[in-house]
Amino acid sequence: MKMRSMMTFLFLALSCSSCDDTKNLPPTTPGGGFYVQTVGQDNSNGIGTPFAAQFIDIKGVWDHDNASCLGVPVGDASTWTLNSGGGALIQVTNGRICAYWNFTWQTPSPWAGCATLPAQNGYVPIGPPYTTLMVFTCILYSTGPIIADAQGMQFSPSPTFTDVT
Amino acid sequence: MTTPRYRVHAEVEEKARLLQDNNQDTYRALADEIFKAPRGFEILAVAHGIGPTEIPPSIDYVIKDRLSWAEMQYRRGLGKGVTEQSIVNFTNLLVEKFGLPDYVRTSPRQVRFMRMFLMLHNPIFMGQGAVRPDIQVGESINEEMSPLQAVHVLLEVLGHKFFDADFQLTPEAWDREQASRATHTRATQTTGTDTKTTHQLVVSINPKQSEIRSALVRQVNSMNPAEALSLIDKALEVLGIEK
Repeated sequence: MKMRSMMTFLFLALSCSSCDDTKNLPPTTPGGGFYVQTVGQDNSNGIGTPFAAQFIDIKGVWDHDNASCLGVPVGDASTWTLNSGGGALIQVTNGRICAYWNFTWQTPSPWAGCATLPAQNGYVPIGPPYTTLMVFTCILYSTGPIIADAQGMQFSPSPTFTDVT
Repeated sequence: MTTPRYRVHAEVEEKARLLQDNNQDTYRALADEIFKAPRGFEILAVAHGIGPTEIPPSIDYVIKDRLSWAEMQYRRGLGKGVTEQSIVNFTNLLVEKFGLPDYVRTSPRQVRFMRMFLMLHNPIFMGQGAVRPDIQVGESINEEMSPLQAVHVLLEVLGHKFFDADFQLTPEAWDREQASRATHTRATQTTGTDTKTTHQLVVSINPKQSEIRSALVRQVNSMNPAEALSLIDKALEVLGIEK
């Protein structure tokens, strides 16, 4: 009997270890909603100018509400996975605000390495629905003697630092 | 400066590759793609119904017709080009008209920077006519662009002023920042023994984007259709694109 109870407890504990996404979600209320913009930035070529990263799957997992928020957290805390489409923008319908979310970049674009990184935590502040834009950026860095490996187009002198009058 | 590993505005480049000298439809398709290209404005379109993709169809048709014709004429050697200074003038005119923050103002250096960024990613389109045949080592590229190249650069400058925190600086502050970044880049490119690639994810909120968005929405919503049309006409006039 004791053995059976222990096995039942163990089974329940193991089965719950895979229910992170559905942990004690707060009840859904109206008034939420925010946007996520997907951006790429190549800092390996010396310019590092960000650009809209299209068609990226992002997973959002609610982490916790902000207890010291100047207002009441509202919206839906359910987990979502959405694609940013051609406009590199995701609308999280009634997504919970005044709350912390974990965002995961799931598409191996603009660089494969983006999809291998752990989730990033971000805070969606209180405000009217659909006023907050969370910018989610995947940045590529290279270090080392890039000049020795440079391929393709080169400009000399660097035209971006030319005295333009 | 290396060839980028990812092509920004690849569809624009593809439409430029498909241009046919006497086929205005191909120029029109390029103009469409330039206005459609994602530049960070999308939240304006989705949340407020304003932006380059939200121009009413009748006006949109006229603008793109005028632009594609101007591009064809330019490439035939019959039309005028557009200077980088014209892009500066129009951006700064918008800042004044809409009462936008000072960091939205731009300069010839910022316009040149954005033009070079596009040239790296869209070499077929943006490289066309950028250098004179008799250019010497050490000389700079032409200040003049074709009409559609100029619109591509203008929208990119405006997009970055809207969403890119690194570009949301007054021209004076940006010059200082660029000098510092150039020094840092030289240091990272010439030290170390191996080239390593790493990635990083960053979640952020850009308060300047919200500030510009509020100002734009307030101003654009108070404009009537005639004023909007007049502004578009002014844009083409400042850019030197003939009727």
